[in-house]
Amino acid sequence: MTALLDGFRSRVLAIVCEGRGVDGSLGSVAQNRAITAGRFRPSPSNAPLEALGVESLDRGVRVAPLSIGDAPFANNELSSAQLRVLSVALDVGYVQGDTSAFVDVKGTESAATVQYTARERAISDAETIKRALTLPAMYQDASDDPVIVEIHRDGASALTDLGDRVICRTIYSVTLQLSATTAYNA
Amino acid sequence: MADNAAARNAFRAIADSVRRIPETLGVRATTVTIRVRAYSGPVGQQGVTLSSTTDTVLDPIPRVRQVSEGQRGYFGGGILSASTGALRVGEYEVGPITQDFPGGGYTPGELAPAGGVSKRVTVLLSGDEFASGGEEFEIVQMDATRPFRTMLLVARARQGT
Repeated sequence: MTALLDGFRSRVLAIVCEGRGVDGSLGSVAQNRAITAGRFRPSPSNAPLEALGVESLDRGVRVAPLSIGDAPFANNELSSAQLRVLSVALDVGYVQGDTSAFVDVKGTESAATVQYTARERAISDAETIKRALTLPAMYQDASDDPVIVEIHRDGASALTDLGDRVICRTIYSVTLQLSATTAYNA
Repeated sequence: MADNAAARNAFRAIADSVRRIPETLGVRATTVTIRVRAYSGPVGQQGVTLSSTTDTVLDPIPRVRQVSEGQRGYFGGGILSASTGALRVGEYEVGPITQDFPGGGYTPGELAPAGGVSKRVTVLLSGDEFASGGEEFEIVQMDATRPFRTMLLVARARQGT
């Protein structure tokens, strides 16, 4: 066993960056919602997008856990299954302004055009990620420990404009089922 | 009156010769390298690999001095910061570097090559101050407005590929 959030982090990056479900192995609904590998890329060194070199920024993803708590469930410490609610921010970066060389274009995008529409790209991608990340078939696996019970978007996807870049932050509420007998500190 | 480029080039050649003297005397302990990494696709994307690394070692070796210990930051580190137990993004001034002239010097484009989504440009500083193998910096300010010199201000950046 590894640390508490290792598996969760790997699963999120598998869905968002590595094309989990694209091959149809998780069902047709998951295949429809799956995100092609390479559309997004993990932030190198897991660096904050605000400080990241612009060459690594466009559609760079950072998973940033914010908090964990027991609420709103009654918490019986003697129960073998422990439910926890994790709040995690998913940040996605976009270059904006006259920097077309740094735009990671996908599909029919043209760098010369989309460099000026970073906000529209961010909103569009936020929905793409949301529909993939919140589908149980995509994130659930009975062999997980802790088990990812449920993921939903908590509030709105919000944009932060830093001049040369836009960062879209979406906060997800994640319910985890922990095993009372696992220490999660290996 | 027309610009006298020939005279400017002659002065630059003289300046370049003068700037070699400290190197000859052995007082330029820090070497400066412009490192350009090219990748097979967007940096950090799944399956993308490093295609090539192109190093340009500045000649003559320019002066390097720390101008600020910098702010605490994610990419901080290095010998000095390790000794104080804090991650600090140190800032260094590099220069004067002679502007290009026939037979030597550097253009702004050579000192700060154009970047791209599949290319990463850093300034590698190597020497007593820095960790073994050198530490990587990014240019945060460049002043090439003077006729005979270019000055760079660099700050510590993400290390490695």
